[in-house]
Amino acid sequence: MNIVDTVEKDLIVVPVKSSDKSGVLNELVDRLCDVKHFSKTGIVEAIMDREVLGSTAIGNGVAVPHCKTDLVKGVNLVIGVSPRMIAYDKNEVRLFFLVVANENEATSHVKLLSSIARFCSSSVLRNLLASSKTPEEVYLTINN
Amino acid sequence: MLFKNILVYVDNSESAIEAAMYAIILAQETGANLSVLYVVDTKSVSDLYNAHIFVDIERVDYERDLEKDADKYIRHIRKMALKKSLIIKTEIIKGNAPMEVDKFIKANSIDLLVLPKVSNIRSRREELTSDLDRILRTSKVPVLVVRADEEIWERFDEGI
Repeated sequence: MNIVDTVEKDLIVVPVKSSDKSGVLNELVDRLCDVKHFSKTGIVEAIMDREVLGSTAIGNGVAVPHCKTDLVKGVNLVIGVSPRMIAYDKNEVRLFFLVVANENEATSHVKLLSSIARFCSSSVLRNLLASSKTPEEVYLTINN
Repeated sequence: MLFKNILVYVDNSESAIEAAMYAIILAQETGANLSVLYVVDTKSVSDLYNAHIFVDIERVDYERDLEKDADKYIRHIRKMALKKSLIIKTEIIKGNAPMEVDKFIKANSIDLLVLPKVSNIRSRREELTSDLDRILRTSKVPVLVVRADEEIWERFDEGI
């Protein structure tokens, strides 16, 4: 399982409207639940429980918030691009890769996170994503 | 005998189950020994820790989950082999998949490697980092890649 196979246009939020960390995470979870018909209750808490262990901002304007929970099926990826930097713990972030996976999907979960890490290691790809104005542009950048 | 020692490499995919089925049928019909290898990808977990995506407690937690996944798949494959009255060797190893497959092949005189189907290439970037691609390209023994096929399921169920 990798970012190319997992990305869905409906689960790309461009531009992110919120201007703080909590707002962005809620916005991305809202999109996930709207598209996949999951119940939002508990998912945001699971994400925030993970944030308590340590920030998911990884540098270079990227955050990879993630959690495992039995409130979802499969492994789900929501991508958010903000037009401006957002304060995220001690970092500033514009690109968000939210991964919410079922507890029984550890292997696929790890594979997807690894794929995201590889993708984000490229400054060219990060910049292309950050300059995307539509979900289609994000989708094409990831698939090329 | 064309092949004496067959190795089927499995991961957490449905195609791996089909590859294992095919390998079981092949071993049964040829009289070859069959080994099943699952490599728990601890390298990816370490990489995620180094990339600051995982914290320390997650490294332990996810590795444990990966081992549980491996155990579940291997148990399922053992049951399948039992249905065909075939004795197989199974192994779960932690590490880097292409390296561990290569080591296993040498240590066990494997003369045929069976792999699950390799995904359609959608990204050159992902192709370069795909374990299955690397195992296929670097194998020093003949490789049989099993395509997903309903016939495999039907053939496997024959005579059970």
